[in-house]
Amino acid sequence: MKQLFVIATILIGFSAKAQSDQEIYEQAFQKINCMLSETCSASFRDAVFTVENAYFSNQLNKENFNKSILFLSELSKQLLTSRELLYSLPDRQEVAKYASLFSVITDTIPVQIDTTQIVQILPFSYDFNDIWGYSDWSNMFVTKLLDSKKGNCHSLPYLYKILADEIGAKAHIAVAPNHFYIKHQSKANGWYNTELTSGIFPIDAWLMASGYIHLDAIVNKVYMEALDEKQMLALNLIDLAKGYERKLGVNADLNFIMKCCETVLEYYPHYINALLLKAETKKKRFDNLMSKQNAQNPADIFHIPEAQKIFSEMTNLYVQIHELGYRKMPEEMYLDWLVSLKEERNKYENKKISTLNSKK
Amino acid sequence: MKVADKQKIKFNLTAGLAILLLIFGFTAWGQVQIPQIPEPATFQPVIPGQNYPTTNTSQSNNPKPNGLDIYEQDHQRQIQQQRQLEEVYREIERSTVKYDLPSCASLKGAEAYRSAFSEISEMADGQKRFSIKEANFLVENAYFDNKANFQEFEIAIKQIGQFLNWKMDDFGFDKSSNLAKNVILYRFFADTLEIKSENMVHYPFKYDFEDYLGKEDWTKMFVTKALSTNSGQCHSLPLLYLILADEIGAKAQLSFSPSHTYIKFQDDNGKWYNIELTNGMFTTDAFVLQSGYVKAEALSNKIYMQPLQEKQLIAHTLYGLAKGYASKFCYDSFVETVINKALELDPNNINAQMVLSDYKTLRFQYVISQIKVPPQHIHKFPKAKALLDEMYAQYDVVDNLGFEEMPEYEYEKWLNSLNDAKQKQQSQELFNGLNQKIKINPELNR
Repeated sequence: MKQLFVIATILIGFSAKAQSDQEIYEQAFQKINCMLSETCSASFRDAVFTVENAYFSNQLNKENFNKSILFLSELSKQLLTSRELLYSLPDRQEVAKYASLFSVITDTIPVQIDTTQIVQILPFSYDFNDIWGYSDWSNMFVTKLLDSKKGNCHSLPYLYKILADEIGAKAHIAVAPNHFYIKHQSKANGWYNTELTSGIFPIDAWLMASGYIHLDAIVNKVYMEALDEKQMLALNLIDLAKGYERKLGVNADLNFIMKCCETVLEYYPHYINALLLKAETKKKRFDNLMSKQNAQNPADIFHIPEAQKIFSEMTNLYVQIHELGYRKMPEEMYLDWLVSLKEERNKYENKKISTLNSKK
Repeated sequence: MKVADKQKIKFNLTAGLAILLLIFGFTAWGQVQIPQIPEPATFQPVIPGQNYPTTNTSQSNNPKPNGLDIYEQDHQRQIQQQRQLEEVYREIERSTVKYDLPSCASLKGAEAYRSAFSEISEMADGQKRFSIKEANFLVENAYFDNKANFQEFEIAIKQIGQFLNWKMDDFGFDKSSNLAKNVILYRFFADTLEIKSENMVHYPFKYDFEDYLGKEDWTKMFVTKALSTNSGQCHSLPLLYLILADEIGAKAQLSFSPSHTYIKFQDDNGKWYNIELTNGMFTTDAFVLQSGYVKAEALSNKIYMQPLQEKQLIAHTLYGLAKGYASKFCYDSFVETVINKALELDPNNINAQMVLSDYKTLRFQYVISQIKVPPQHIHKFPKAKALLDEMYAQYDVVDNLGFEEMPEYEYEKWLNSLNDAKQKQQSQELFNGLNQKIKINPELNR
């Protein structure tokens, strides 16, 4: 009897916890969805915090987060006023903002505290440890980046975008295979790329040479498109769904993940990560049906109308993904490619912009 | 074809040539203030072009200007200067400022361009059947003031067509195969072809890298020049290819890459191939991308690497017409008319957009050379301001399409990279693969 009681409390305890996480995630979804549908005012920064906070069951300290962001945005504002940009085209003031943001993220900045003391503010760097967040999902987070000064291709561009919003600069996140980076437009150079993981301005040929960007994927804007505000906001819902999946594991409600995907696709119909997650989720549903029926082969459960429906939806989705030009990039290739930028810097660097580095 | 030989000329009167590169001067480096929770108006942004030096943000011991009266005097003087300036501007405005570039329409030979334009326009509007042979001849003949003979040109093309047909028979090619026809065309450009029984031989075309932009001699761009000298460049050779393709009923399409045109065709299974005629090679898409001047926006806007449809090809010939006119005479409103027609057919024709960009730049420079005002006073001349805005708007169009200027030396370097062993091997492999597909009798193949 006593044993039973213990088991019961454990069970109830678990389900209560699962339910509250469910609620937290539901609220987070509502919050971002509200921004997307323009019912609430949109803020990329709030959306990012909401996603990360949900993963920590709303235990993150928002005040700390705000303070860090404020510090960095003020730092870039100060940089903006304290140096002169040698650039004479009409968009000069805007370009100066990009330059200050870039410095804040990638440069060591000496700051004079009083007449005798100068403090060096160190740059953010790339964290080669657990780049996919396998051992700890929060390695993908901006809050982790702010705490440790180390981040990856998810957190670095996200932080950059948050800071750009703070100082009123236009910045666009762009998607590449397993990767995010920043795009800006200037009168002198048109569209150009900012790669924060290495602090280099690479030309598009570097991305194309990754070998995993099919020409069709560029034409169809699956990759390398400069995302607009709505699209960038929508990215957060996929992050939310992935965090949810990680946090709840087997208890994750596939309907919630599906809802996130569907909502994102409304605003950003060709977001490849949303399409992929949707297809994977459909596959999970199908797998669940198969194990429920103790089936060995997919064909074994085709007599169930629901199974057949899910299966054809799933295959259609994978066909669509392929036709858009998506090709899977093996994870081990990713680091090789990322490092190639530094190794073949001369080949892939946008020389017009990198003048900035040599003049320092 | 190196198209954008005129760079976008950026407008900057005070500094003379604009410094286009992003160069940062890191002044006051060690004096960044520690960020604090801000109060409004704590930070004074530096606005370039202000009259007094406020660039130094460090709280240095520079004394403030002493006394309000000095300031006031200065202010009054400025106001007076301002009034005088405005008077001068009104004076200029009253005198005759010309807001259009001088026209070359009355020059001898300009009429030939007008008639060529109306004929090609008829083809564009479907009143006349379009053929690249005729349209391109119109473009080149306009330059020669209509003195060339179309019949002669046509006969030359017919003879080559005949030669190619015989050669296909010779090889035992299936004449219904698009692949076979394109392979024979490719070999006509890249190989020595001989028909012993007729005592006929044709040697491969050479790349004429001398004045390949037609800067000194515009006729370097011409198909007629390529035919008569058996050498050409990336504008003339692909056009000749298309003309000959029409002649033997092959389907091939023109395609753009930065400063360049090349040929795309499909084999009998719908697979696409690229032919690079300047070097007589098959190339991969990766080769084109490796130029380094193809932006993602350029691809998603389809300005490069897409097979041109008929309308787009007509737009391309109109671009050739406009450039020929500008080269022979000048940039005037006729150039604008022709380019606008080209853009009506193909709004994303980047070469035509660049001509328009040049035209608008030159027009504004012409106006500013008459009124001579510093940039900050340009708004006193609403018409000139409108032209300036139009020029910048056109720059934005070009930028948004994903265009990036490819410097000449980079272009040459890229084209030369075709001589790398790797590229040659790739081309040979592609060619061998194609030959297998059309089942050439190996005894006849060389």
